[in-house]
Amino acid sequence: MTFGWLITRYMYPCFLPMGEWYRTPMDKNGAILKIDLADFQPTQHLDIDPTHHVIVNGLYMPHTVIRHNERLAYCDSMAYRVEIEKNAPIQLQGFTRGLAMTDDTIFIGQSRMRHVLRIPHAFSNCCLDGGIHVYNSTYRISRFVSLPAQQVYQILVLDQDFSLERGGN
Amino acid sequence: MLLYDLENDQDFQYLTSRLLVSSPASGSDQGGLFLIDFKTNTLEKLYSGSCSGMTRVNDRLYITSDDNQIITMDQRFQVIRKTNYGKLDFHGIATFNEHVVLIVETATNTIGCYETDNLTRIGGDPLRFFR
Repeated sequence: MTFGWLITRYMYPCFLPMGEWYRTPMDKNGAILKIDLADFQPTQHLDIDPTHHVIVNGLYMPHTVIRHNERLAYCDSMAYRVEIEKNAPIQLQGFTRGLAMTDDTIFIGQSRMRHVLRIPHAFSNCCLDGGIHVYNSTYRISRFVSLPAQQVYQILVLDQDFSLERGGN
Repeated sequence: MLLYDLENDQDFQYLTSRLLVSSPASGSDQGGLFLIDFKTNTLEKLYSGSCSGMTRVNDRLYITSDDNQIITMDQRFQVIRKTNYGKLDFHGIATFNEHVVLIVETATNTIGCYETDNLTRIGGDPLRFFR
């Protein structure tokens, strides 16, 4: 099972073992790969052995790899965490997926766990609310913005030049 | 919809970011695309339907859906195209260049290349994972 992100010349797929991975939800066997696409052409065929490209392993269920200010950041979803290179993990209370950063704020998506029987036994509670944690890492404080939705997949910070004018011509 | 009075929160009133948030369908929740604007303190649902990965190429927004669609929107978040595919279980999408986007096809453990002009899938399985 793969999920992929492309950052400049590198693709950072997140990987879980193929097959019925959900039968062993306590296993931390997720990984993040790094694949150099500098010479890749879309018309070519490239077989990838994930084991040759692992840069982070031992994860519960990784999602949403991004880079900000030269630091790698990602969600370790089933550990309810966000990991940012060289920083202490940001520990939350629910399934994390969707991550965006600005210079002063980190936006972290939280989703309802679809299958409560897969909730890791290591935690005494799993928050099922869907929404966005607005986290200030300088002061280590956060607010939560609920969404009228159960799931968050991705968060994009809109550039100033992406129009928001709606309606009319 | 007010965002919990964040504009009056002394620790967060500096926020002016605008966020696009994609949401996959789940059970009775049909999912969608949301716009959170911290400057105007508003939350708006722009689109109803399952949405997973998003990427921008020039003035277009490409959204994958786990029900095997690629949704193309303009800068006003109006849907200008929906393209259906076979069972590929799309997840993430990323811009390779202004002519090609890469899409994770979880059902087949592949990453497909799609032309941005017509969303045609290029080649066979350009990037295939194996074990």
